[in-house]
Amino acid sequence: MAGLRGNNAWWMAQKQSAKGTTATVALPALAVPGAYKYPFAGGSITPNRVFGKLAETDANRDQGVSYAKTGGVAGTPEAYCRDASIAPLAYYCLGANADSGTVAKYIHKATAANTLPYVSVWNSISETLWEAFQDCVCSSLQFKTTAGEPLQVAANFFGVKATRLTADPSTTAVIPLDAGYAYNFNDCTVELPTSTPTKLVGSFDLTINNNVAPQQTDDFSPLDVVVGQRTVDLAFDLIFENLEEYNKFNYGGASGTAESNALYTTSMKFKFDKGADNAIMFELPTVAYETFPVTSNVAGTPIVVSVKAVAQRPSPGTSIVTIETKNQVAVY
Amino acid sequence: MATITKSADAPADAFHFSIGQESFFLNDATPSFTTDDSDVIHDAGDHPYLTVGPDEEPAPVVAPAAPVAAPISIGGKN
Repeated sequence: MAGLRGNNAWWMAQKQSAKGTTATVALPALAVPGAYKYPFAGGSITPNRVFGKLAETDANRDQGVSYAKTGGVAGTPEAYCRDASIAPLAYYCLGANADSGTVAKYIHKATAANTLPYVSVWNSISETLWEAFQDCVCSSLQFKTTAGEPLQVAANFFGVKATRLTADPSTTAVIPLDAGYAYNFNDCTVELPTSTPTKLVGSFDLTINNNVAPQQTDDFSPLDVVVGQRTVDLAFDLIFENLEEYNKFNYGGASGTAESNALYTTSMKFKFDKGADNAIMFELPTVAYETFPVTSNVAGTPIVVSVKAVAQRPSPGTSIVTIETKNQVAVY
Repeated sequence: MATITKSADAPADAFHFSIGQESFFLNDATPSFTTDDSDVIHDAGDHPYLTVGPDEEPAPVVAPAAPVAAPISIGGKN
């Protein structure tokens, strides 16, 4: 076959002990956070090469010659959500994590922090191209699914240094490709508000964005990758069965009739359960709707509202969003 | 420098905490730890399972009392 097969690929991530040192690939153990290997469900992560073009005059119309501006790492690998390997991504993106529980059911609660850990990311393409990406920070996580479809995550990373490896980095400590159960929206219970289950929500799209950017000084490689403002955006489809949410958004209350300048906020929870001991849960204590479009349609199909909401800054001691995972892994 | 302790809101079996780059185990034998990392102190304050104690000031050093000179006895007038 001419050409290397594209479906023989994976990406892997592990928290570093400190900035500046690629993590030593380790198999997760009882008290040792380790590496997690993900099948690609899309996306990629690669060396980031940025170019410019000289803007200068010449005797002809050709554009100026190119120059290399900066390097580093950038990419957004995607994976299906499995409870063992999604918990570390939640920690990398939110910045804090607490592990509790005992054998058979450990609980991992990722909450928002100002600081984020540095992560090493590796990829393998066709068992020929292996790369190590050092000092990566998770810029964003997007969780997305629709009715009947598996829950998928897109993890956007920026990093400082890329290195091509000449051998598979996951063989000294043999890291298995995560092949656990891929959660589906059929496993989900939606609460709107929290503790009030609803059957009317038909999709889930949550984006946690740290707005990470490379910081370059006097070198081709970035000095660092720095976090910016955190935003948490939520979108979901809601079957328009009654006026309650519409009135709360526009008219100040469930039975309101007068336009209101009050900001409508609510809480939401999306719980993906797979038995008593395995779950992935997303909890947003306060979200404000920003759009609630109700439109007619000539086909006469039931109206579905594509709601867009923004998580609100919480009081101290409360996380703007919490991702809780139950699984059989002790620590992350 | 601040002391970070597992809060009363934390599950009894919570045992491992990560904040940014730092990770630490808290249990009955080691219920708290001290740090001077301002980022960790800030983030621990926002963490639902952690409590940040007051800044730890070193115990005040009590200066030894200045020696009191023994009274000089001046002999009585003859």
